[in-house]
Amino acid sequence: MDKEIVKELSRIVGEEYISTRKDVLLTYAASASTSYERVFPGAVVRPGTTEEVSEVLKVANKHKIPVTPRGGGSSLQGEVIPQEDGLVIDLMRLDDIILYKDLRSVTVGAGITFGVLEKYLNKQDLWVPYYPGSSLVATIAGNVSVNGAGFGSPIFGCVAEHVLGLEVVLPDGTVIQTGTEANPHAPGPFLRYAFGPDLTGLFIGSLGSFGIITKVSLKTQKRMKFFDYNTYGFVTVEQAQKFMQELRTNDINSMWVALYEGRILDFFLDMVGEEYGVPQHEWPNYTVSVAIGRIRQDQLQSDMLAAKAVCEQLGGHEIGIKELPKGEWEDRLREFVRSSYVHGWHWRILYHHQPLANWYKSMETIWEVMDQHGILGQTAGFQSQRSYNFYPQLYYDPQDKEEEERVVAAHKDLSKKLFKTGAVPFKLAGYWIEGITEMDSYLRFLNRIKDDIDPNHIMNPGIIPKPKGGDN
Amino acid sequence: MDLEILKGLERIVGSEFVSTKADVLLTYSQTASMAADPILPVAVVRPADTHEVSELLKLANKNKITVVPRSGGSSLQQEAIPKPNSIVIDLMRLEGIKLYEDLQSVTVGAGVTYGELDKFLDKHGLFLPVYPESALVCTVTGNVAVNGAGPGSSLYGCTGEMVLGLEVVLPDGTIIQTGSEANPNASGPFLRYAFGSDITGLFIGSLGSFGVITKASMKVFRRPEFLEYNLFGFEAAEQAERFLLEAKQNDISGLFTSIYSGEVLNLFWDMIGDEFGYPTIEFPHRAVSMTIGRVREDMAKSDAKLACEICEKLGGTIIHAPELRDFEWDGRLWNFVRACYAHGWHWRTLYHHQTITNSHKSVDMITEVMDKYGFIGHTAGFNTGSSSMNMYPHMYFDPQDPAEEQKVRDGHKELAKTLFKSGAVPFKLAEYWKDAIEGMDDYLAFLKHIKNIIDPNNIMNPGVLGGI
Repeated sequence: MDKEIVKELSRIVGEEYISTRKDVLLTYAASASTSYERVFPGAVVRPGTTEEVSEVLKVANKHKIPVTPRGGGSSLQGEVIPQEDGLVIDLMRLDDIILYKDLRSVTVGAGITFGVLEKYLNKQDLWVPYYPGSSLVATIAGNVSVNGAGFGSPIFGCVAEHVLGLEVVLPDGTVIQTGTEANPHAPGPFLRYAFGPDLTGLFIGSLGSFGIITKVSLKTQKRMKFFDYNTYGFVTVEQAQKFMQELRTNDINSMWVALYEGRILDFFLDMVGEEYGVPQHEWPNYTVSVAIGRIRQDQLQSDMLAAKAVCEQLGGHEIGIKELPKGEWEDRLREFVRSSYVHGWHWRILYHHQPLANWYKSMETIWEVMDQHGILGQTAGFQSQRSYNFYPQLYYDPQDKEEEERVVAAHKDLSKKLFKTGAVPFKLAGYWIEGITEMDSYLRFLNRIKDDIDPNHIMNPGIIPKPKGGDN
Repeated sequence: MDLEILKGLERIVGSEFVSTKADVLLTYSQTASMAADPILPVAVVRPADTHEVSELLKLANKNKITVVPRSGGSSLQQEAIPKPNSIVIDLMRLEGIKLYEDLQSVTVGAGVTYGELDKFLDKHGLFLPVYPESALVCTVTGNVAVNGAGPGSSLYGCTGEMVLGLEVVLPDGTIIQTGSEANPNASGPFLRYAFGSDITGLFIGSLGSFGVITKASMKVFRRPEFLEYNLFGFEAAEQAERFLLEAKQNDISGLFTSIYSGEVLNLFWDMIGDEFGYPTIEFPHRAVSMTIGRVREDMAKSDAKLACEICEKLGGTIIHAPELRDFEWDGRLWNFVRACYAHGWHWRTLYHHQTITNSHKSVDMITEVMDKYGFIGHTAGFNTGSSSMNMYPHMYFDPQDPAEEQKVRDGHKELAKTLFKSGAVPFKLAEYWKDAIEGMDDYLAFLKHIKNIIDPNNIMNPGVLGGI
């Protein structure tokens, strides 16, 4: 990177918070996205305030330097892999937490991880009942940018549903605040839908392409103290799918719901079963692992009975093994990461949502593609309100180029086939749109907004796919 | 209106669905916003489907004709009042309700009212749990465009939170579908946050200034069969607010929770007590009216019991007023409208949101303005979402008395300013907020920027969005 620009940047953040050292750049060249090639940025800056982020963006915009914002670096689909000689803005120094008890909300800086927030809120007997699989390192702002889901999502949905407002630095350095806090007199965040059109949404799931989220305001709730863990067995997939729907419609407060096919459950338990103390069991064709949480004990009792009744009415049975959902729930800050890395393979992931009643479609498609391409992998997921959030992982040995290529090809194939089943991504990774022309007007609209908000295309360029049929 | 353009409109929708007749235009010159001056449009068109809406917008865009979309016409803050020389696109012919039982969602055309939808969903044991108070005439898409709230919002939030996806015709005629249905292979609406950035939100609360919403896909839920109603009395506003906060924090399932001052309840009683045969009740300084709803009986009972315990712990009393349940929940589709018009005054409203613990400030400020300017009115509010109160002040005037109307206009203007300074926020950026808002230049510039990107010819309801 041009020395003059580096000087300009170091005047903003201070010399100790900018680096162009090779070993530092190496760290920022990769993220948890194991299947992506490293790309070296030209410099890394670590601003300490929103004002500094704003000044840094003004400089980048002036010199048209591509910018990659980065929080914990735990994203899995290449979102924070830098541009060649670009600028990485590491946001971890933005680490304030402000609690608004009477507003039932909290505001966190972009450097606050779910782990840090959890520890803080726990002391107040509060929580944000949502935990992405990599909670210990994932920042809230980063997770809003990718619009993740996780533990808590069966009831509360994806992270977007918790957001009350955002502070965002636009590519030209302008700082805007959305939600009630847009009113400088507001006592804090208490409503997302203030001041007409919902601008907050534009930045949710934007993968850093419209600006940098520097603060997030979220709803908080009183912590649930009463939990029940159970497993429910079913013979047919329709029964198991219906069971997930019925948990919802019957107001059973299932904070974690995962549906396992027999063979995948065996695989999963090979990895973590012993640790969770799950007893040996002849698992049925389909097992639903459920953690119910409630604030009041009588509510929990009522939910347990209702869950059992719904299960039996559908022809299923209560398995009674509690260790699996208990292990998953109690390990929620790290469970996903552990089960994803414990086997030592590298992998590509293909996050997507499927309606509960079409759970089997994703399953069938994934098996079919793995068989066709001769690769190993698995898929798991969890309920997120009306849909099931799948995260198929396609494994390869990083030393085996040929295997990796097969996985890349299978991944591409899988995204197309999943799209045809009616699945949707929650973040618009580029591979989703490849070969798809049915969404051209949608993509044109998105690109039009992008072009106008970021005319110099400095913010994470290329992350929004172009329409296949051209720009017009 | 230019004859060529008129012919063009007729070619699109058919001549029986275009009108330039003076009596028809008069009907469309006003809405339920009785405090607004009527404005005659030059033509009214009534397209039958999304395709026709698209063709109409292409024509309007090419000829730079101002367009005001309209459906039920029940909006109260002038959103559907035409602009001079504009055409009105009446969307009531876009009917059609499609239920996705497996997805727990429903898609409705822009002409479907809440009344119609509720009747339909009731047969399936389902409901869309946010009822704007004009539900019988108000369309779902119209309410999405203003982002309203109402009975049900205390648990489920505003209408915006019920949306799973929208079909929108942009000013240049492009049709886009948001949410999971953006994938043409999707089995229906099941997720709003699909395909990255949430563009759905841009059209929620947009007051028709970014495009015409032709379909809305909404969440539906099982209808709660078990209701528990109570009125909780308190001597201080702060106690009532604390009660509401604690009830929420303890997961009491209040579908519709309002805080009323004694004066307001007395006023309601004066207006409708006779009609409903209500007995006389001595109301306290503040009362919290709460309708609890659950799909399981034991849960509803547990909630009701805990609510009573919290009330008593905070020094409140339980007031026996089962009549209010009929009013507040059972009659949610029509009672509010009745109470608004039964007295015969005209009024201005100033919808806003305030935090729960500051909601008494809104009441005080509104009372102050009424005293200062010397007109009558009232305000109350209901809880929306996790921590907000939706306040709906009414300021009355006799439409035959221009001096009184002017006082109300002046008071209204001043109130918008003082409310903004108190930290209140509008949920729709009605035009009058424009003068009240300060310190939000960058926000409004960004909004204007977005408006320019989407509607470069500024044909869609110009000015409606806080002057944008």
